[in-house]
Amino acid sequence: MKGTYLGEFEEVVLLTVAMLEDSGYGISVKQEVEKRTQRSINLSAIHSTLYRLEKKGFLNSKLGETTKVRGGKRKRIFFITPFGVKSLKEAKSLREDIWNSIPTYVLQK
Amino acid sequence: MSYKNETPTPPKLALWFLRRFCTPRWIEEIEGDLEEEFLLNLPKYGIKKARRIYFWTVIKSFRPYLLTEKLKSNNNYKQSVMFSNYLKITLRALMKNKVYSFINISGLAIGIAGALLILHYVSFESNYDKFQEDYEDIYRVSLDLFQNGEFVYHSAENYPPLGQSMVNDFPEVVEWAHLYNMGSKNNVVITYEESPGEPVKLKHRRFLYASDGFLSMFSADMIAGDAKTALSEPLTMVISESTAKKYFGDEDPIGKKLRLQDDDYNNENCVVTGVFKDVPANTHLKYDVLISTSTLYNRFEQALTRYRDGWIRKDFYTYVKLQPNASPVTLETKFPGMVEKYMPQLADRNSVHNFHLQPLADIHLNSHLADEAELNGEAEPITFLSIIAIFIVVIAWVNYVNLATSRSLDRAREVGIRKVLGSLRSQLIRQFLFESVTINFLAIVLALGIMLVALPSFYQVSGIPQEVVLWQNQTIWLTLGVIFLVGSFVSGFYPAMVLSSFKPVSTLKGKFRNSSSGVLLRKGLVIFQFATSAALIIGTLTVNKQMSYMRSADLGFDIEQTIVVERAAIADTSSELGRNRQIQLFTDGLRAESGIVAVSTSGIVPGKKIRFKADIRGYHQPQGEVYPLSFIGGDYELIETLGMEIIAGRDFSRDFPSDADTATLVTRGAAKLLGYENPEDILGQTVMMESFRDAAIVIGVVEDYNHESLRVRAEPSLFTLSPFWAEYFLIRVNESSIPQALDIIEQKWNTVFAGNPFDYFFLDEFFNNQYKSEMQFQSMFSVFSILAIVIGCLGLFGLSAFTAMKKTKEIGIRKVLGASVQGVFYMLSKEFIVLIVISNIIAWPIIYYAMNSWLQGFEYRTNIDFLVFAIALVIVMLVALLTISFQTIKSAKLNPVDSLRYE
Repeated sequence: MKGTYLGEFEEVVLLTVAMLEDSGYGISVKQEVEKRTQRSINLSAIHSTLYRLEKKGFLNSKLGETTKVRGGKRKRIFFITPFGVKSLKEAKSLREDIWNSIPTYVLQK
Repeated sequence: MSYKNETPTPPKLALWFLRRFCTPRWIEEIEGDLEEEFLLNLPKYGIKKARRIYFWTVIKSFRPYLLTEKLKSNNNYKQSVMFSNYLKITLRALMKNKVYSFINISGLAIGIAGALLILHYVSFESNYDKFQEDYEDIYRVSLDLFQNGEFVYHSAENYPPLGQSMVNDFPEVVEWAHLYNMGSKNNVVITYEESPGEPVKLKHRRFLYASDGFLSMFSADMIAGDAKTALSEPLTMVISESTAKKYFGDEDPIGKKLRLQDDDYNNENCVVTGVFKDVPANTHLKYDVLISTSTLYNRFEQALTRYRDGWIRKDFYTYVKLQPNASPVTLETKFPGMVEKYMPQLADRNSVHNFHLQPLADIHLNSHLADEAELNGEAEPITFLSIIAIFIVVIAWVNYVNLATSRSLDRAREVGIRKVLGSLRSQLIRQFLFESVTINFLAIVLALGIMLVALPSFYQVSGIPQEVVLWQNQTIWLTLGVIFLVGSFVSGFYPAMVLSSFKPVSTLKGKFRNSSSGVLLRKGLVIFQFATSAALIIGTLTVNKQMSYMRSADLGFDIEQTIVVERAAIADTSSELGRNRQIQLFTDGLRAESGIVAVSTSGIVPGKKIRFKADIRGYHQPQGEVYPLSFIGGDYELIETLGMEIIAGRDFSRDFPSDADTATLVTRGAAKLLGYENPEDILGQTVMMESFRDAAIVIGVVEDYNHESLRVRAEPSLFTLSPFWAEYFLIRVNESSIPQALDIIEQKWNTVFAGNPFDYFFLDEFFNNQYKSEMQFQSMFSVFSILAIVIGCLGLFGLSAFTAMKKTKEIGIRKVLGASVQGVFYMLSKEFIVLIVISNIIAWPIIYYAMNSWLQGFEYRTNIDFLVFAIALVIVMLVALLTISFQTIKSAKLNPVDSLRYE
């Protein structure tokens, strides 16, 4: 399973990229994840996760347009691949499966 | 915002580093992202923090996936082979001469370990109170008193309304708090009566009354309760986490009632309104229990004036917080006006008060006023120890340089061959630097091991509490890093340069000469090492001398064989009479026993601050012109029990019934202060005790005695007869019968004060405890001096071996021509003897100056003995000769045939 396994943080990042459609790059992903998880994350962690996800085939990327704000540097925009979508769905359905198998009285505790 | 007009840029160093390691494929977008984040952070955090975040992000980005191909690729292959070759050569060189390697590495390691341990102590001592938020803006207001233009005392305590008045009068003072310190003076017992099991009864010393602003101003770490309001009501109490655990276990402490009882007959039920995390060890204010100052206000009729509004008594620690940019110096200039406003009567009395602002973080090391909250540390020893730490490391490096260059003989051929085979000088330098990095690395590993082993005894010697964990001290790690880098490159650089500079032809021919500048440098380094050793020996001996002086000095009273028992906190409080009867029963009972020499009750105990100062003046001195004298109350036997000397008049006596009402004794200093230069003259005179609106007749004068440490002047004091102001029972016993006497005392105690635990201490131990910081300093100084000498000798050992080796041929020829072993030994040692004498002469003025300034801190001090200088010289000389004799004797005995054959 190694190589296709989705860690918790990886899953959050992957979902965020999917949510951001065409505007997912280092900074926007970082801000979104920080907003949602309420914790502060170092940019380097986001970068390494994005590149790892790309290497595993969950993400695709291309270089964007030149902008003035970034000292003339282009962004790398990330997109989710069909394989990424499939893995997310699998992860979700796996959880739902387990959720559904929890006896209801346990959840009422 | 403080930044200039130009647009702020990310840190260049970080960017350079990023470009060095990051693969080109991703560099553009990462740089872009970083810059964008930097610009976003600018308005949020300011330029400093934005740059810091940028820096950290770059450091954290240093991960394998991002590294350039260059760093990973085959290009590096050649280098990695070279490195493995360097490593191999280094290890071979180390193994080849195990003694050298051992001396080198262990010398460095001992030096590093010693320096880091000192650093830990120093950083603990110099970071007192720096954990408080805004500690830079918090000041304690101290009080200086002058009477008739003469200095009376500096006190850490001040008038109760001072803090509030400062906030009212000065806009730059934003907060205030004050504390009333009874825990260290009274016997306080706090009881949890409603406990489900047995009532929990605990005695408290770390106990303070605190005003309602205290908790929030000192950013107390509250576990429960609100820092702002917890102390605003009367009869409220805030306790530490560990105290809460002792009383309530796992129950919720909030709202629980605790009964406060002390020996001033206070008996109040307080509500716990808050719990704070235990205060750390590095604060001058240590407390477990805080009670609201408003509790004091209902204690008696005049209490509000006494404890809140009146400028009469001065016994509150007062803290103020200034606005962040306010200048304390400017504020201090406004204080004289304030004194005038609130205490206009002072001018008439010819009395001057000065207020001073003491920065919070300065108190522990630089404040030695009367009535400090605890025994503070000393700044000077800390400076000394820091210097010693630096010297120890430098000595270790000097060793390294010395040994490495002196070993050049060994390595000269290797260098020659390498050069012949085409290696460049830069490659040789790299190789030798690599060796130095390896040796330094090994030394650091060993140093950490040494520290680990030495840690338990270090804690004992230094007196640092165990919970201050060395390994969590960031300064230590940072310094370790710096030592490693500086040690590897700076101390490695010189040997590398020397070794790589050899000419291949001459080295291969076996002709080898050291340059004269190199020899000079080495001599200089040896002088430096031995100057340091000599200085440390002189320092240690002087500190020891002062310590033994203080221990054996005539204090003006006798502290031997005296047992002290504190009065019972829970006594018959139903009536004063009942309590007095108990005291009488106890003392009379003891007096009847044979093993007990003398018994007295006392309001004071030597070695502990005298709690009361009474404003006294002579009968002939104008009203209001008063001197605060320490006010001591005791039984008829107090002077006798403490073995004090009466120099004029007589002691209190039961034969004079009037003594009980009107008699008083004064010390020689007090008599002088009251205007009687000759002690005889004050006999029969009346002194006015203005604080108590009372008068007394002086019946005797006691020789000045040192109630506290010899650091301070003997306090002028006044003794009154008050047998039932019995805070302590002082019991002098026969030396031979101490155990039996203790049994008897305990027996009597248990019958008279049933229900109180029996506790005692010996007066001499208690008194000498005042010298704790001096004793710590003494032991640290001694240990690290020895360390410095050991390291120095390690270096000398190597160096002497080198000298002997260099002169092998000369020795051979001399022996052939008839020189004796002694003659050769003398020839080899001569050079070192000269160096040692020079180094001692250099050390003398420096250490004389340093020790002199240390001794100035003591009111009573020994002189610096010049014999000590001679002793240091002899010690250094002997140790050095012993060290070099191993090598010199060996070479001197060598058969000339062997030594001459080697060419």
